[in-house]
Amino acid sequence: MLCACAAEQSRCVSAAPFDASAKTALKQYCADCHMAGADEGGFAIQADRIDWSNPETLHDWEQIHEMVSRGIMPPPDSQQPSTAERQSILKFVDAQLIQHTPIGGTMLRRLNRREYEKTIQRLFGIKTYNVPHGFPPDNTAGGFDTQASALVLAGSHLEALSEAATGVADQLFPPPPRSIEPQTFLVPADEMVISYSSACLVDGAMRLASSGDNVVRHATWPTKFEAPASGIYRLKVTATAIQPPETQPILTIATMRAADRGELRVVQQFEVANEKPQTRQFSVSLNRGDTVVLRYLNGPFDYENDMSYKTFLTKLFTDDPTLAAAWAQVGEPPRGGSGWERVKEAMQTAELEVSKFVDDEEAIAELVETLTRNKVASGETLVYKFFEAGPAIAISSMELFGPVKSIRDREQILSDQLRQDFVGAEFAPDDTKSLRKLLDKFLTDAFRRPAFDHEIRQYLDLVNHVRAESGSLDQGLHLAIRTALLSPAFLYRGFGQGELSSDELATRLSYFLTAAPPTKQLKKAVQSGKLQESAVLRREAQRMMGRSFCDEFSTQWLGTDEVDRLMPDMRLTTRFSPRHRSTVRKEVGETFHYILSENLPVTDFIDPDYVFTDYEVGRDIYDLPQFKTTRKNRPSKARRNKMVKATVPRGGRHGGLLCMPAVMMSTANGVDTQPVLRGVWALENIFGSPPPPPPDAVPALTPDTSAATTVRERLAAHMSDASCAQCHREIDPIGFALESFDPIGRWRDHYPQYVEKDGKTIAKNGNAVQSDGVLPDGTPINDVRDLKRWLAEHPTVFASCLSVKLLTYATGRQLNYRERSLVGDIVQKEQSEHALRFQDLLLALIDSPIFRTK
Amino acid sequence: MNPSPEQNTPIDSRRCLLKTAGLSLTLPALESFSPDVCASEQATNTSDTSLHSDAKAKRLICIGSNLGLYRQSLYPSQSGRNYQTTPLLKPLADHRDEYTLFSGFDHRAANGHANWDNFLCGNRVGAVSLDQIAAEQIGKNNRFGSLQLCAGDIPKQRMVFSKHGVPLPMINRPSVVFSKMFASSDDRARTEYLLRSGRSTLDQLRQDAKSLKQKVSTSDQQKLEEYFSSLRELERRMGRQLNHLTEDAPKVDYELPPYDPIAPTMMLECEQIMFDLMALALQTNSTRVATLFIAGLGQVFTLDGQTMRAGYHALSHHGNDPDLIRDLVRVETEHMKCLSRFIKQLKEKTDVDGRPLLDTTVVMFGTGMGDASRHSNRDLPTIVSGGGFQHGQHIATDPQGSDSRLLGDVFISVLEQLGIPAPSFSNAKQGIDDWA
Repeated sequence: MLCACAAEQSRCVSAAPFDASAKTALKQYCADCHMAGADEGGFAIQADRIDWSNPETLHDWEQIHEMVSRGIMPPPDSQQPSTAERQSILKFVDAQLIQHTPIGGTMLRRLNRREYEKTIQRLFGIKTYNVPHGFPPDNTAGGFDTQASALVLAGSHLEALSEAATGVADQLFPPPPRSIEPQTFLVPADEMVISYSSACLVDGAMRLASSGDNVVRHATWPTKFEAPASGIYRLKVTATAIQPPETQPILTIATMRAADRGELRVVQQFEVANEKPQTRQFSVSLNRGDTVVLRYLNGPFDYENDMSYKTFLTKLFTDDPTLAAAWAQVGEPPRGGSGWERVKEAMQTAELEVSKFVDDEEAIAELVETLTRNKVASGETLVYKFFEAGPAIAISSMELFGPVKSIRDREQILSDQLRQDFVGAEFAPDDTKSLRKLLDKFLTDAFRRPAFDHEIRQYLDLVNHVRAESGSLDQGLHLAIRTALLSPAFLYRGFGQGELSSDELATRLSYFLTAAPPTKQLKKAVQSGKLQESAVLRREAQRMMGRSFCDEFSTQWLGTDEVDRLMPDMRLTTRFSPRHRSTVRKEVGETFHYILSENLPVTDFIDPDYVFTDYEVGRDIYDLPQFKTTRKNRPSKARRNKMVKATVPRGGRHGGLLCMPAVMMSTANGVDTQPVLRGVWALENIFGSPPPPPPDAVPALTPDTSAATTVRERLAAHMSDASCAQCHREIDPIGFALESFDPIGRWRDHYPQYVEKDGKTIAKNGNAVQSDGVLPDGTPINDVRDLKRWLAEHPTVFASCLSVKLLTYATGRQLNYRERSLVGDIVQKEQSEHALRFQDLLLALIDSPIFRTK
Repeated sequence: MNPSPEQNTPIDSRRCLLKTAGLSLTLPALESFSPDVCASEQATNTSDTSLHSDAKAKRLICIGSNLGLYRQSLYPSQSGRNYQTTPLLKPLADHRDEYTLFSGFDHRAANGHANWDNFLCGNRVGAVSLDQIAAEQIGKNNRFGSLQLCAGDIPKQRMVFSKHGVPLPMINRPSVVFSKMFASSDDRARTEYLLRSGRSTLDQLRQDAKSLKQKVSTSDQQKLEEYFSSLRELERRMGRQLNHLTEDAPKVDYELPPYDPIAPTMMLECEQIMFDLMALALQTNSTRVATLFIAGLGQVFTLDGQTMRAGYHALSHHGNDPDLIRDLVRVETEHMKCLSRFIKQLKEKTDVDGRPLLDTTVVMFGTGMGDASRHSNRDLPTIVSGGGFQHGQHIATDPQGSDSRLLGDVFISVLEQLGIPAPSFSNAKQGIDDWA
């Protein structure tokens, strides 16, 4: 009971004797503004009869320590204490805070959305459980979604949770399906979907002319049909092939959920005959809400795939140089049918330079390249040629009749399975003991601790009551599930106080590393009564450190999910695809996982001799020689986005969090960079000393590189203002060093300067990037490489920062002064004993009283 | 290491700073964490509605179009009352004296897709939206505090945010909206069972929480207070819905099509039905606040028997091509026709006092994007009808001008018209003069 002990102790020490020299110093330098009735900035120092048992007192003195140690207080324009006086104040405050601050104190924590989903998955074996659409997202604190203070529960949450609980109960015990009379659904051609350029109505039939996987671009389906009930339906399709190429067109018939266009299930594929429309008839099995999709399986026109599109276009333009000339003349025709009209008009004009494209491979290749570069735009236009003239499949009509026979659909089959797993093989519905046992197990799992007798009785009564009223045991269990999932014992964790019990320790560990409740194996460790033993706890923790933890924690710590929301400026690069986006995000988790699983020193986060990346990012963002494309090493598509470990020199401009594209992107906005934002980010997340918030009404700076003044000159204003300077001498040098990376994380020596030329925007080299500066301890740095070196030479700075972040994420609370000082001790110990190897460090943190206390 | 107190605060307000620079969008207002919010929530929930009984307007409808409106075909060159009508205003000709067009107003927010979402929030995405401010005050005695509808695919965009910064889900199936309001007996039986059985267990949950409360620390007790107050709120909601269920559902003479128009090409049909359903919801007093999101994806529409030559989304990226603009304006004209029909219905349908609904209903049609072709969030075209304003004008402000007005100014006037005091809204501090 560490926590209670500490609290007890602090209560005993009343009115701690004030160190005389500290008191004199405080009175001399602080009293005018903060003592004896003065409370400038809303802050008053209570220097006599300090009540250390009051959390607010502790909080105030933490703030005093922070302000004095950073030199922010006393303000620079007032009389300054000597170094010795400052030290006497700090020493006193430090000793008092360490003595009086209790360890622990996480408030009750509601399961967050992630945890809720995984908990339901594990509790009921629903493998793909997701909360319903519109479920409220969680608030975060300090970037983490695990913080008790931010995980509020509002009425709208409980309402959503109640709906979610009913959804879960429905999955195990669904309400009986309604019977539906079979009926006929006629689908004329003009009641079929046209999405983007996926189909076109020509001569009263819906034509399909392109092939590709994307349903919304290469398929059609009825606009007004959804299967009203799960069952067998009779389907008739009337179709004709228009100008087929050598291979006869094949029409694919598939089913899909209409509402969200979920996964396709192919039911039939058949060759479509020429000339006269032919009607084919077959049976399809549809789940409620399904529709029937038609696609041209083997059409030659496929603009989704670079290679086949290029080949296709090359042949098309070689055979038809007039088309090539017309397209070239139009330039970039608008998307869709009107663009194709524009190209056709051009084909009629006399001055067309057709000869330019006759037997001229180079001219054609250049044109093909242009079309491929924006293949979707050009494909959406060119497909109209094939709608008009084929090859295409024309669908005259569809007809559905059903359900002629009801079927047990996917959902029902799954429900039966889930119900079976829930009640267990030995369940005897008419035996009260059996029901009692079932509820005991369910509540124990759901509440993550042994169910109390009175709880089991309550739920037993509830089930029996509903059963007596409705005659259905399932209905009773349905309500039991709905109730348990709204219970505070399920929704919250951390009810105990002081040192965590075995159950609570298992729960904290499991949610920390897997976002899910304890597995059977971990529960076994609890039952053995040995989980609280250091060796057992460490062994279990080690077993649970997986990739998903690495991805989730590193994303929240570094804020790299921003990458998904950013739109890089097109003037900066045209080479930035969703693949780059996905790779730079993967790099972070991959690196984190590697350092953790290999138990490497934490300095590998700062200055490793490797980066994890793929070919495309390696070439386009890192600009690494090993990824340079030559004729010989052009990688296959499969290899292009495969993560590889690439060696880079230590101490260079590549490698480590401070040189990672995902980090550099997340700390910029896609268009330009702001040294202050990056500097603050690094202080928070790498150096572990976030500066206090800036005064109001100071706008963030954006470097205006076209003007003569540089961002440095403007920031220099801060340094001349003494009250700004205190923090900016920490922020700015780091921010300036990181200016060497552009908004997508590429190295740069100059800011870009955009000039308009012939209606086009061209990027030229503007002002040179000035990345040098002086760190607060006086170390001069030239650029980010020196910054990395400094961090590698002072490894406890970063190790402490990372440790605090890990424990904040794990415990769900902001660490207090004493806990942070304890982290410092752990880091020191790990440095001397294990050279700050990451896995060892993490295990030491898990094994610490900070983690083990509520 | 440099331990610092109050780590939470600097980091969070730093996030806010990042946010204003167009970066981090996930962190809701810090106020939403404070227990005071819960207290004030209760206060508003129990306060007397007669407070607003002499307000000029009693209902609010907000419609947001994902791709906006083509301003060159919407804005007249003259402001004031004697403006010449424009192609997009033509469908509204019958209602010329019942609406006001605003041009040049916006929230001064950054550009891009993500900031569409601040349409009803003001300058910051995720701040409580205009309709929810209104719903809390004027919607609490109706079956539904507010309704969130969508025509077309459920979007990535979010339009409505609760005061906790929670985006509220939208319904895009007319049949679901309809059965929610005018449920069939089958649906009603199931809904009633779920509500009754659910409510019957709330006492047990409350007891559970109470027995836990005795064992936990003071700060945990505060956490459990959130649970108790949420439980009370849930109970009230369930009771409210049950009351209305046991009353006969209002009978309306309206027939839905036998299918749900959820296929992408059916969006305009869906839009019209959703407008109809909003009119029915107001008429039957099922709700006083509703929103409708009009999606904009690649669907190719057929209008008057003629199929557009490109998808709606491609039309919006017109790049100033005249053909694409023509088709874009045709699609947008359909939105205007829907709006016009809606206004007409609100003129014909009456409230309990026999007055036309439109007199006391504020209808606002707008968007979070001024120019979809460039993803620009400057200059958000907005049309406001009904609610007793001095309509018949085009109120223009220069979005580049130093004294330009904010869209929040319009929102302030709307709230005040609804009897809700609004000294400010987001970055706006004043209403529109001589309009109320």
